[in-house]
Amino acid sequence: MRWLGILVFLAITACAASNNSPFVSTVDDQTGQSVVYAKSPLTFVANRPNLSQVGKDYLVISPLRASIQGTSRNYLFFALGSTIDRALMDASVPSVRSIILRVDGQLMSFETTKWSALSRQAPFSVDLLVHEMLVAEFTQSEMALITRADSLSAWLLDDNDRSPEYRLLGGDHKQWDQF
Amino acid sequence: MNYLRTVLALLSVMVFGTAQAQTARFLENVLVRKTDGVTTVQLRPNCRMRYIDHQPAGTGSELRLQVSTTSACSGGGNAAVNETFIQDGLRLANVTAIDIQSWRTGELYITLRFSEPSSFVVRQRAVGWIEIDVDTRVDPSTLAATRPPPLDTVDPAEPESNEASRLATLRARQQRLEDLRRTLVETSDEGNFVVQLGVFSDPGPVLSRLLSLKVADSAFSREIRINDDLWHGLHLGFFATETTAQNALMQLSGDFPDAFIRRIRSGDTEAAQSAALIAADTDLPVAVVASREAVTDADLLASLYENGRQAVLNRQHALAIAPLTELLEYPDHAWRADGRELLAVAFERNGQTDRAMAEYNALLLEVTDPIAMARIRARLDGLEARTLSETTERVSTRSVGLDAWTFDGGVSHYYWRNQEQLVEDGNYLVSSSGVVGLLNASARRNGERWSLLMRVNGSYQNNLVEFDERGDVGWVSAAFVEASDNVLGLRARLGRQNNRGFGVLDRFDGATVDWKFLPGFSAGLSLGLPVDSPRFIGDSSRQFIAARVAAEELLDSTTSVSLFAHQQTANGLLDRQAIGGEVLYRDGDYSVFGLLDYDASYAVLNTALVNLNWRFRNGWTLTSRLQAGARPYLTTRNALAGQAAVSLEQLGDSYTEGQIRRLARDRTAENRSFAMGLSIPLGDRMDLSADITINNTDATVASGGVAQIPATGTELFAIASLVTTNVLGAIDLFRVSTQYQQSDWRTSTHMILDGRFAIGRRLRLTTGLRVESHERTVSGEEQRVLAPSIRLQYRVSRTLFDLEIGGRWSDRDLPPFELNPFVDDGSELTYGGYINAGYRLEF
Repeated sequence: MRWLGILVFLAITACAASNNSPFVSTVDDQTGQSVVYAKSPLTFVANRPNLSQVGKDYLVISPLRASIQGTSRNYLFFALGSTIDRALMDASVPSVRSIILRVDGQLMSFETTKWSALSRQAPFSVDLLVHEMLVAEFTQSEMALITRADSLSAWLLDDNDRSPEYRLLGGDHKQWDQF
Repeated sequence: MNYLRTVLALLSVMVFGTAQAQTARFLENVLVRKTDGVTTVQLRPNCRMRYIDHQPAGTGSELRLQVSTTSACSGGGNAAVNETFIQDGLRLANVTAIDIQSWRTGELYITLRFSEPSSFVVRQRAVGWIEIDVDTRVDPSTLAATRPPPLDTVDPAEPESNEASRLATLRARQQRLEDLRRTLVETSDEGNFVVQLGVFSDPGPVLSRLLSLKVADSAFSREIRINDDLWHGLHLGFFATETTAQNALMQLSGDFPDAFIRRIRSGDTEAAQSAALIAADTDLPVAVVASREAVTDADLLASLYENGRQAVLNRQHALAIAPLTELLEYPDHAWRADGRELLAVAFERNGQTDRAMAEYNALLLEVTDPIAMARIRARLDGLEARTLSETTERVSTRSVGLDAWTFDGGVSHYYWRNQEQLVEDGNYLVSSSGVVGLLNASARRNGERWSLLMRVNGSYQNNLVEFDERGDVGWVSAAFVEASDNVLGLRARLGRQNNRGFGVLDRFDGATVDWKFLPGFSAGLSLGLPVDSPRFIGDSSRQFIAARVAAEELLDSTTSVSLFAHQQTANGLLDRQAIGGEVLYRDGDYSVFGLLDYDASYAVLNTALVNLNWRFRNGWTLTSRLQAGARPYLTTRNALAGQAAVSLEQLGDSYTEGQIRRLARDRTAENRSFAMGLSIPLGDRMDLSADITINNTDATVASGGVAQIPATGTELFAIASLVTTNVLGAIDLFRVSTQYQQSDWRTSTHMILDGRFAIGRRLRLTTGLRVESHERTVSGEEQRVLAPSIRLQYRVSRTLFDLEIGGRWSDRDLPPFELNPFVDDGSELTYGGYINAGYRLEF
């Protein structure tokens, strides 16, 4: 009986370990739309010395699977936030025409659409004043390069193709290969 | 027995994979197991179910199971069910979701939605489980994307009477789901897939490589412009699915290890197809190959060669092609290389670029002479560049604003008043008060060829205290017009300006001309009248002329170098004669800047400076500066320091030129300084920064009736700041800062606390508190200062209203030799304050 107890303990431990998924799944009760996203999204940051000495612009990226009635699409989800007081300076938030990721030596450009076209609710909470949420479809090949990358940075290009470089601050993209 | 059952259940989870929490009402669990490419999805019901049918039969993009259930399945509740089951492990079976739908008690539909057409087998196990085997080894492109008929047609039954309203709600929700699903489909374009081989600043060599690989797909280039950098993303396409693109990617992975597959929108596809550098489905031109029997008739071969050569010389290129082609069809003769080069030239000049490139590429394999190879490569590069520029011009859809004037700037007025009072005295001592108006404006017009820029920065101050001898004063720190010819690479600027790159130390009134004579190379000339302060206009007593040459984008665009020569006179005397230069090296995360300024007439190093900026992968930033040289910069006008004369001309009444230069040298000290700073991000919203500066300046030499300025000894400045944002609100800001300063004369410590709070969208409140402590080494005098402040900023559209009020309490222990009749205990107490109030209007 003791061995049986040990076996049960090991089985429970193994199950607990197997539940340690790097992704979270939520379902919108109103629409039935389910969303899977990374527990640890990537956070990029860009200094804006002409606007603020300490305030920064942020870019949060997560793979996201939106499913409804069996139609499922994989997206990269982009949340654009800031701690810069633009209202005080009458400055406008940056307009984004396209997003470029530098993945080691490669440049990946993403033509984005607004997340609001898919859902009226934010897919997950970002601890920032978020002024824009965008999505872009990705391929498995792109995801494979991202998950293997040793170096990641980003640009949010405006209509004049200008952007500061957003450097990686945190997140764990190495686990995205399970997406 | 219960133990055994539990263990078996847990072990089955471990063996079969994960079973996540979102189990639907009818399903206890869904287990997924993959063996040798066949994935088994095992549906374990919560209640008794019996398999009835499934559609389609064996392949499709959806599989619908019809099962019957017992009344226990409805739990006595509503029969209408619409649930979705999603689980990561289902991807092993290409299943994205499982829908469970029921419109009446006893009938249930389970729909498996596949990410791509799949082959499957359905069976019911004796224990009540339903298993679906999905063969993932089958190429989905070979399978039909069959779907079962819509569920509404499967079940047209009338809703049960007692559930009419509930069912209506359910159908409305169903419609909403369909709408959302349609949105999901519409927003994800049906687009093609392409292989992005890489991004290149010069895609020419890669195109050559592609041509030699004879790829079967279209190749096209897309510009990626980031700030001032231009990249060419080279793509191959177009593929209907990522799977088919994967095949092409695998074939090219040896040559392009970083290649990847990306989506391209249908509109972009058409544009790219029309501008393809290499068109698919067309016969790529190939070089002429030997296809005839070898001949020994040298006269025949010589005749063919000579006919072709003469036709090329006579510019009858079309006529040259036939004999030269025939010549190359004969193998193994001495005229092959020369003949092929002539044929390539004939094709090129006859407008058959593709065929010319094919011959040049073949020629590269035949010749061994390095000079000939270089010549052929140059021609090939020229042809590729020409082809590429024509194509990328067509691909690029980016429009450049032409002839548009843009204006920006602002105007502001501020009133300020500072005053201080001895506590024991009771009388206010107004230190300063006034109204200052500031204006900055610029107008810019960017044309296709000409660009214009006009800028002015100025201010005017009305003093409101009588004892300020300066009275009302005005400043003009910049006022110039700049014109650029984008074709010739010329830029001219006229007016008040700064130009340290030419070695000009001060602001000046004059002109500067720059000429970019080659890409990355420029030369310039600057001349004018230096001004000591923006309050003054330049006078002709001082004049300078300076020249500069600069090279940018050296060493793979990592390095830029500039050299300057500068000569300045003052009252006819040589004031400064300097040579020097700047070097900037940038490579990824670090940059190094070096500056040298050497006065040849005095043989003195004015400045040697090295700046290092290093950004580490973990977000830390290290800055460092090492500087040595003269303080102040050595000019002959330094001789005026401490003298009653206000110009070198007046000083010349008492001293010879040699003596004046000696005085200038004596007024100038040697200085060395080192600074280092480190910025450390602590989490997402907090930054810690620390800077330390060590400075040492030698004594000057007493001469000409001017006393020595003693050496400073080693001065130490240190500052550390902790700044955090987003604590109470997204844009709130708090800062704690401490400063420490130590020299031979005094030691000071500052502690500063700042906080900025947003009150609504328009109003900002900033509070500050500064605590200072000073100790003077020689006198032993100590002073403590407390200075609170509060600032309100309110923005209405483009106007910012600003009000700041601050106080200052000081407690100073007087040294024994300092008498103050109002102080009886040796401690002087003062208090004061300031107010700044004004507005800034931006336009």
